[in-house]
Amino acid sequence: MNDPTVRVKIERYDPEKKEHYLQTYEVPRGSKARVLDFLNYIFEELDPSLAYRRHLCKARMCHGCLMMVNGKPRMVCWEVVSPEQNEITLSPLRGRTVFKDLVVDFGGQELEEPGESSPP
Amino acid sequence: MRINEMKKDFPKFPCDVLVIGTGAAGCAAAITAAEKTAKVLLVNKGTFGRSGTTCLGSVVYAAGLGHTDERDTPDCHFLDTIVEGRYLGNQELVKILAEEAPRTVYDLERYGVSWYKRGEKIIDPSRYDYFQLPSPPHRYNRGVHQNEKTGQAIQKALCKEVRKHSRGIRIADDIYIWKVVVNDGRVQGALGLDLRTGQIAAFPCKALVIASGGAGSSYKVTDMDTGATGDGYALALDAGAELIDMEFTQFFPTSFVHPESLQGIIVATSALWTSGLKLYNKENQRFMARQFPSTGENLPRDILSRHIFMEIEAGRGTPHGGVWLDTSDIENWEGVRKDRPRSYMWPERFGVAARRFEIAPTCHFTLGGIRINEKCETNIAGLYAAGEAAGGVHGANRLAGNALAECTVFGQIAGKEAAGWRREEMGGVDDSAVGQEIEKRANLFQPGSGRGHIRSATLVRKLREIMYRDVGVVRDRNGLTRAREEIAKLREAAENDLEVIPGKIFNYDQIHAFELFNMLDLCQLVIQGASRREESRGAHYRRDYPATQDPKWLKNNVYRRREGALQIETVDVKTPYVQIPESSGHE
Repeated sequence: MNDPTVRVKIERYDPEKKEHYLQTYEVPRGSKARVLDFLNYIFEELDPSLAYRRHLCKARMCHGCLMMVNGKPRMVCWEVVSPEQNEITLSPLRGRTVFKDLVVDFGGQELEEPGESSPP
Repeated sequence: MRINEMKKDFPKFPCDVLVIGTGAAGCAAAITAAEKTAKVLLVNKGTFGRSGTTCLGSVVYAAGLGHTDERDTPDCHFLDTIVEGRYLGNQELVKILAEEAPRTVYDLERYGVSWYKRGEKIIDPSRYDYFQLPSPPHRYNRGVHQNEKTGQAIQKALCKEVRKHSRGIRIADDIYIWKVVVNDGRVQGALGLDLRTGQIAAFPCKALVIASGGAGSSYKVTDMDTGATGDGYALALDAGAELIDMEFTQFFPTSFVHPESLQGIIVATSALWTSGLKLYNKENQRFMARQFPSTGENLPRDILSRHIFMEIEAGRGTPHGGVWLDTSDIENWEGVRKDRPRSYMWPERFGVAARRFEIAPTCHFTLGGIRINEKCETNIAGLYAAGEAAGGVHGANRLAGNALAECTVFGQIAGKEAAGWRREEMGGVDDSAVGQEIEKRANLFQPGSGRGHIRSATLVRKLREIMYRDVGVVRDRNGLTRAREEIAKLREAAENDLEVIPGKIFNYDQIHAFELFNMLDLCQLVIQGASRREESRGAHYRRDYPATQDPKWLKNNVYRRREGALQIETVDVKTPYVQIPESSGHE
């Protein structure tokens, strides 16, 4: 029997072309349970250009994996893709500046070189 | 853009003290340096407040306050740490840890950690106020805590305190440091990649603190943050600094193996081992009780990890390659579940039976690290290390709660000492040296060059499997040799066939390529050290040398790189405070 797939739709942003676009990946379900497993599979097996925060606690403590899952803010290390679900939509956390794809600004300071329009 | 095109016009961000890593050690260093009026730049490869393994610290923060058990003192804490480290710990460092830890409890409370207080048996409220948990083999109740969110609470409080120093500390997220620049034995600064722009940036500084955590991500199963790729060790080694005790890696015995998705996450904290937790193999035999009738499962992390690993290896593991952890006989199990939901929420969420989990050991802590002295100085002037990135405190094994305490205590010392350089001249990161470095790195891999066909993710996965299988809980000559040969092949593949995708901004494929080379260096070093230590001690278990060799191996391995070649020197342990008994063996 073929491994069923889950359709993962991702709202992407290419900062070099300043373009927003939707990309769909068909991901074999395998033993994946959390949304994070699906993202890791896409990055490692299908498309390394997909950007989401890759340095994470993966145990619900760092909150670094927050993004919109089917329109709701969720930690993808905790969000389960149930056996009935065959499609999920991921987009960057709302209300934050998007750097690339699912990577947003969590509020660390921007680096500015001294002498070049540095704040007083 | 290729890396070697980046060398033109890279921006420079000078500071007095550059701190790499924003976990507890990095934040504590930044705060203390800023209090000493140094201009601090706090960088990390992820985002401030959401990076590093500190937030995962689950329960105890060890401090010999003697609040819950008045027999406890810093001296007892000192001795317990030395004994648990099987006498390899640096006694000067351990003394500092034990003596300073109580003070840092108050510091952290001032920053906003709400330590649990004792509501009963209060004799003198001004003295007996913190509720300290038992955590064997600490002899007395020593762990202050904020239930099971201690690490997260500490991380949050330290971040809040860092933010208060907005004039003294600048925070820079998404900076991957890949070179510490040293000239004439003195730190000059660092080079990094700014993920947000994809540009190389230079960070000239007067002093530099490496607080970038451990290397758990070089093992297939780990509870560490996925960013724990041992970057700091590789940076230090490359800069000419020394590492110590790198052959020792601590495994935590009880992490999920099923569902696969949760692999590595810790199920039961050590407090449960004393209250009736039982382990069974696939034949439903309580294998620990068979070998240790008097203690059962109530044993130190290393012994428990080893026996679980060997039970699985002997073919008596569960369907998904673990052993059964049974909670049926835990006294007041419902109370525990309610009080400590963090571990037990996972099975419920993922549809696993809550009474019995399949578990296996997970890589928990890198015991060795950058060799420091009492001032957190390395052998390179101006280069400091603190926290898990540093080595020497834990020796061959670590007590629960000593990691978080180590981060704050030594983070503060590193910050104070690094700030002492603020009136010195700024280090110069000179352009030609930078150009050379960029060239060197470009020869290893060029994003988008199309010259290779293997992805770093593939090589990292193989590396992690090899390390867990052969260089983890149980080691022997054959396994170590096999690992060395297989990793040499991975290195060859990385050097010849690695493909890194093009793209400047948030190119994680490129970051993982940097991390891969760091981990390859580091893993070969660990293998060499583990091969050299022909004995078993603490977290280092050699199946072919199961006995502890005293006094022959009452020694530390010191690692350094000279002219491209790794050297390991075996040095005597200094014993200024406590003599080593004739046999320090444990099992």
